[in-house]
Amino acid sequence: MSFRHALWKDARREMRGKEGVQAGLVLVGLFFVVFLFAHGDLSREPAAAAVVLWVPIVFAAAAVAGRGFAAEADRGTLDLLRSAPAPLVVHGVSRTLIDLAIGAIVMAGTVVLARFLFNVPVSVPLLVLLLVALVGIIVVGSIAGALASQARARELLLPILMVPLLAPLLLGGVRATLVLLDDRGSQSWGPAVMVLVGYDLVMAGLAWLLWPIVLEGD
Amino acid sequence: MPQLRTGLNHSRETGCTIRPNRLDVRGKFVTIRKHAYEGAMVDGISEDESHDAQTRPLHSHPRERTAPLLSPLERRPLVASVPALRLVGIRKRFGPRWILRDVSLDVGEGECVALLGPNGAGKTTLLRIAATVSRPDGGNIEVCGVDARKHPERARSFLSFLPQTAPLYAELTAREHLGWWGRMHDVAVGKDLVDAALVDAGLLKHARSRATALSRGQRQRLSLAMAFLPSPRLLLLDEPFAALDVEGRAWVEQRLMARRGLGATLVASHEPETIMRIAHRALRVADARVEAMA
Repeated sequence: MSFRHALWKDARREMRGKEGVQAGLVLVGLFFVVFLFAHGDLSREPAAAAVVLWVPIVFAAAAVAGRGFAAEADRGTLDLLRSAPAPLVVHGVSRTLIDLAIGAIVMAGTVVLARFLFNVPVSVPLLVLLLVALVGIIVVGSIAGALASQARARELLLPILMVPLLAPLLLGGVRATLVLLDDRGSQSWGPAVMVLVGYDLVMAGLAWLLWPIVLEGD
Repeated sequence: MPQLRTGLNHSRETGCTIRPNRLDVRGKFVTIRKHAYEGAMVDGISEDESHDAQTRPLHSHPRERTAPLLSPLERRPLVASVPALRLVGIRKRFGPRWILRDVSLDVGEGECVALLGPNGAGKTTLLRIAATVSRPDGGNIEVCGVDARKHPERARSFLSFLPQTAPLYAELTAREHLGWWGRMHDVAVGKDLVDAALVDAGLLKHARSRATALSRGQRQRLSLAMAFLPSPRLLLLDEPFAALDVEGRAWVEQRLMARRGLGATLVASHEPETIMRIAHRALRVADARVEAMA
């Protein structure tokens, strides 16, 4: 029950504020503007196409996931959540789902821009791969963001926490993207996605265990 | 059929506080119907009526029509109740500095206790520890008999906490804040109940205003209304009079007076004259210790 109410509150805040979507899309837009000066058609350049897809998604997802609990900490509402008679994991999972929804919107914007501005060949397997990767990025980013939000140097701490944890996902995801864009073997994308799904499940399980500790007061 | 008003009796023989509306004269468990909003208690009804009571309205007043039954947790029989708050040997330090050292205190059911002391004495830290939002370095916390370190969610279901900063969400309206907070506390908050809370806090005309559109005093009123809404057994208030005008201060004073004998309240304040009109006793926080004041 309390999860539904926590989710309602987070969704209402995001729908009214739109800060997450705006921040993510602006970041993606800026990246594409800069990239436009250097590149044109990327349909025959899989490495550059992978960069066009992954860099804005990773940066925007990290920015989105990092700001959720930072806002709560800044406004002092974290104490309100801590004093509510609900398991602390409820607030973490609720925030993660909202971040995931925002990340999906940002990812959709990235894919559309990549397709129209750089002629990146977008396929269903590629979308599935990016979506599965996005889940992992958001799960890790949300909990790292919550940890960093209670520190002084949160902008510094967030990438330090996120990058090592995301390294396996980025490595596997970018390689699988190269395979898909290279059009050499569409049959080989399945195992890569399964590895990413496994990563997502492990991280989601860890996050479930860590949320109460991360959100507990000082 | 007993029709007992809500209230507390203190037994001098046993030193225990009992809730007479929970038990009838024969010792039979009685289900009472309590208005979800602080201070609006209605008559108890017997166990035989409890089923019927769920389907029909009790009173014609809109505030009372929406009155939910007590939650299962509240409905448990309380014969000899423990203190609403018991802190034993609480220690807390930030870096090398001890903020609280071996602090122990009890707040009995229905008791209002004031926490006084200079800035930085540790009043807010003590309240945050009592509200389970801050972790002590040592000691035990019991809220209504529940070990708050072992069962924090259960302990939190008995308490409501107003932090010092009137924490509100900029994107939510006053009405949404009250509705959301009530539902988080498992209170069946209908429109009437939220309206009653808004009227009580003097914020009805700002019901659709977002928190950012409210003045500091109005934000404080809204935060207080949120704290009062679940009718907690233990109310923890940190500087409740801050930023309030004369009318607002009178409102808070009246609400706290109405709580005396019904629910426990621990209030930190820098206004000894005001708070001593309300509190049963006062504690002074200084030098990392808490001591009773005359």
